[in-house]
Amino acid sequence: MRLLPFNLPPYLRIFGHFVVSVLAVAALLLGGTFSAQAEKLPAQGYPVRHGELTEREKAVANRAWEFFVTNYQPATGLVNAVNNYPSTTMWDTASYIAALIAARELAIIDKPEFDKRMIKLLGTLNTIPLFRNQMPNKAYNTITAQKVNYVNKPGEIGFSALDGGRMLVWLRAIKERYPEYANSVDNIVLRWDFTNVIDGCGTMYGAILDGNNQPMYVQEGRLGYEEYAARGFQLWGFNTCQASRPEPYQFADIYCVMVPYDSRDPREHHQHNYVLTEPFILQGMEFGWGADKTNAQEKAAITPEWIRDFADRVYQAQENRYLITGMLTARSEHQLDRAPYFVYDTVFSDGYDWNTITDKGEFVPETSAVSMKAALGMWTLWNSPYTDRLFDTIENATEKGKGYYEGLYENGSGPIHEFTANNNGIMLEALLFKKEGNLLKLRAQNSQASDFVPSIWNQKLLNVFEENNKRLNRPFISADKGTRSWCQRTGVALREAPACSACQCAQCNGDQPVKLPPALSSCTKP
Amino acid sequence: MSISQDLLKARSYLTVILGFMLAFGIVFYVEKNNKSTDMKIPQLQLSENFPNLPAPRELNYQEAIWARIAWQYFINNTQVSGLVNSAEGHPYTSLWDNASYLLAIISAHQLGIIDDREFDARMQKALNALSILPLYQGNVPYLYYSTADLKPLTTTYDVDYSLVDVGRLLMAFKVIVWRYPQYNALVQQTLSHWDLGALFNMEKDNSSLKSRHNQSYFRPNNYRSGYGYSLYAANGLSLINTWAGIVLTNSKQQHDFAKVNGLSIPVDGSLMLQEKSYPVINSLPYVLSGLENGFNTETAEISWSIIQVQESLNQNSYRHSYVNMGFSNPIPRLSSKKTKSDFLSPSTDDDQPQKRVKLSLSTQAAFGWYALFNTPWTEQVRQKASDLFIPGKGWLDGVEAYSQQPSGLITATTNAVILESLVYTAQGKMICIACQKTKLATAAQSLGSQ
Repeated sequence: MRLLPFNLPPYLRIFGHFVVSVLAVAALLLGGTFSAQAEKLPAQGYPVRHGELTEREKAVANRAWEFFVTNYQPATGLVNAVNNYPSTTMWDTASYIAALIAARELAIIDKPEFDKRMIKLLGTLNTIPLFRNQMPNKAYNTITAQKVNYVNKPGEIGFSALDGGRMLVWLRAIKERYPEYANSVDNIVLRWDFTNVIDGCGTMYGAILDGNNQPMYVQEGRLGYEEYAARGFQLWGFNTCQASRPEPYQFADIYCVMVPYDSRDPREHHQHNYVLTEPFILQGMEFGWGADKTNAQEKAAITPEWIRDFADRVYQAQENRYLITGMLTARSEHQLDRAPYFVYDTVFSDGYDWNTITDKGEFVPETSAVSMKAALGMWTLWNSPYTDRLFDTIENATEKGKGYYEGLYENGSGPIHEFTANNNGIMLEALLFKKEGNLLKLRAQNSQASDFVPSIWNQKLLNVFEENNKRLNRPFISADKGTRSWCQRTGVALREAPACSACQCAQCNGDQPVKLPPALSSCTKP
Repeated sequence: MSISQDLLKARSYLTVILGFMLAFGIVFYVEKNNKSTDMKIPQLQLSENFPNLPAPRELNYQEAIWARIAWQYFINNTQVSGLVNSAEGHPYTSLWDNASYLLAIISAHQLGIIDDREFDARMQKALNALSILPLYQGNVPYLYYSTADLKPLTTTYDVDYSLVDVGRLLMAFKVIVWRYPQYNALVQQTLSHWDLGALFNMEKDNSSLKSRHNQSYFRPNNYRSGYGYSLYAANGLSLINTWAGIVLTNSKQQHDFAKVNGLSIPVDGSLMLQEKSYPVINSLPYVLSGLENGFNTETAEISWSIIQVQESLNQNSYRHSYVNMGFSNPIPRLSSKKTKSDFLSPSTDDDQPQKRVKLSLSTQAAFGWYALFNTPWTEQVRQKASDLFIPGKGWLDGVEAYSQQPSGLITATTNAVILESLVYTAQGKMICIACQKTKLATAAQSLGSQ
């Protein structure tokens, strides 16, 4: 067979085949090096920060904890959400739990102090009156632990699935880190009625009151927050297929990065499709991603790749804004120290980029700020010169005894003179993440050990004869081998999911991979 | 038969042979004595190792960001008058820097950084402002103006107006006329206020070609002079009239060429680093020649020589402190005399213009050379320059040679050259004759262009 189009001299002919194969390999290698490498965002190359805290970082942690000392309510064990204002939500209380755990792990407080606080808190959560006996109310008075409305007067507002989701994440975190509290935690969640908060397809709903004081259940959550809260429900056994999928989403081209946003029309649904840093950094810190992904077996504890990809884009658009315009950017929703008191300070929302809006949709760009929690979250998850600069900027924006300011106004007029549990709590999370990696560390349990006892939550949910399972819409959980044998030994009839789970929800395929378009935008195609 | 009779018989053959020998003798003699004269300017021949020039390609992500960083300078420094400051914090401008601004607007539009609406707004305002500038002796704009009120400024340079600056502005107009023909009328209108033809007297006296104002054309001055600038400015100035074209390409000018490592390069100064003397070359006019009008053999050869010299010197220099020399863009020292009239007063001896700062790494040259000659060396140099910017303000001129610190200057020209170089990478040279289709429709631009 003629391999080469010319005749080799005789002494080379034996090498003919060899020569051809060498040429072929060389051609392949050459082709390989010239083939277009998919260009990546710089953010995708920045590693997470990891290591013991430096003196400066310890100082940040200590100062942030001061908020929880000043705003602690000994009567209930709750902490004010906003400095000196005795009201809180489940979201902020979860941030307090995060702060409490961080304070213990970073040796800011000792075990007795931790135990005292935890016992009081869990006791309150176990007895706190729920909204219509379903889920916790949106707001509580921190001194009396009674349901209140937004002006802190006794009343009801409804419940929030997002708040509940975050609380579920951190209740699970307590169970895993401090199993001595597992029973208290389980009993909290066993009180909750999930009938209206999550449906068979895994969509989450919040409750609001209509004109006649009757509850209305409305889908709650947009890209970012929706998936984060769904993880909480998933950690307690719920199927959260719809909520956990990123769809529906679209991309906005912002400073050469394709930034994802929820494409549900804000005009129809009366919910802003804001793009904020917070839900992405929470997932990164609490569950870990990339090389820091937890290697736990439980699917709920593993961050899907697309969340990391979306987070990189949200980070990169902000870094680019700094490189191009010189404006330090770390955007998240935050309180203000004056009217309108609370803004969604977004990367993108309702069709406009860098949109800063109130809950009602009023445009208030003069209130945009560098949010401390966003900045420190970015700092811990993306190690870059830009985040070093953010750290330098926010490091000392504090007041002794109160913790960290909510933010620094972008227009240069100084700090937002307000202090919140959420802000200081997330900052403590970021520091604990640097030291330990992902915060939700699942405890390894050998269910086949002779002294193994499933948690109370599992025991009840696996028990066919537990009447409250159906009434409160508790999920079906699967039992592994060790649990099954325990049930057999103790005479518990297993409650298993109906064979046809697809009947409940035909339209959601949780395992379908998420295909993502390139993160780089049309900037490169003039 | 006797010899003589044989010879007689063979006389015709002999004649022929003698004739051939004579002819060959003459030929050899002529060839030997007629040495082919060396080309006076060796760069009129493309050298053997001249590389393949890069074809247009899409920008990559980093380049797209760099372009936007450069454009930020113009966002920050466009004044109410419609013109742009020469440098950050310096509220004056020259024709050269405004030409840079016009080319930057075009580049930003071509790269999709600004949309049609913004392009039109900026272009119209700038052209209108140029058309109302007060003129020197009614013919040509002054060297420098205040950007706030467009009043001419007295400087310590020894020229009243600069033909090199006019040349750059005419180059910018050339680009506009080819690529945005809807602006023809406005360009014509701006030019109609000036009388550039009057600068070139159709007379030749026996020593040199003179311009009307008795300023021997392109004699060395302390503003912008040198062989490179004369080559570059010729592109634009030859539009004026026939005599301008002739004057400018008359090679009776003095050039300063030196041989470095066997290559002939134009030299604008020298620098001592670690007790070695290095030539300092102002690459800018050669870079611009390539990016805007396109190379001819001469500018291509000179440019290639410059790059080769820089690469070889860098490899030999201790600690690679010499990378690609250049000069900071000129910033005038305004004369302490303030005059109220339109006439500029002559500078006094003790008023010297600010010395041009020598750079060991020139940002505009780094970007320009990479775009024109995509070689591993130029890529390496550009990478070295890629962090020489201030977020929110734009690109610095470079690294100062003596102090090895980043230059404190952020100038219109550097940022414009960076934008031009990126357009060159994406599309080829700026004067392009059949490329209207590339950018008349609304650009799909980044939303973040606020």
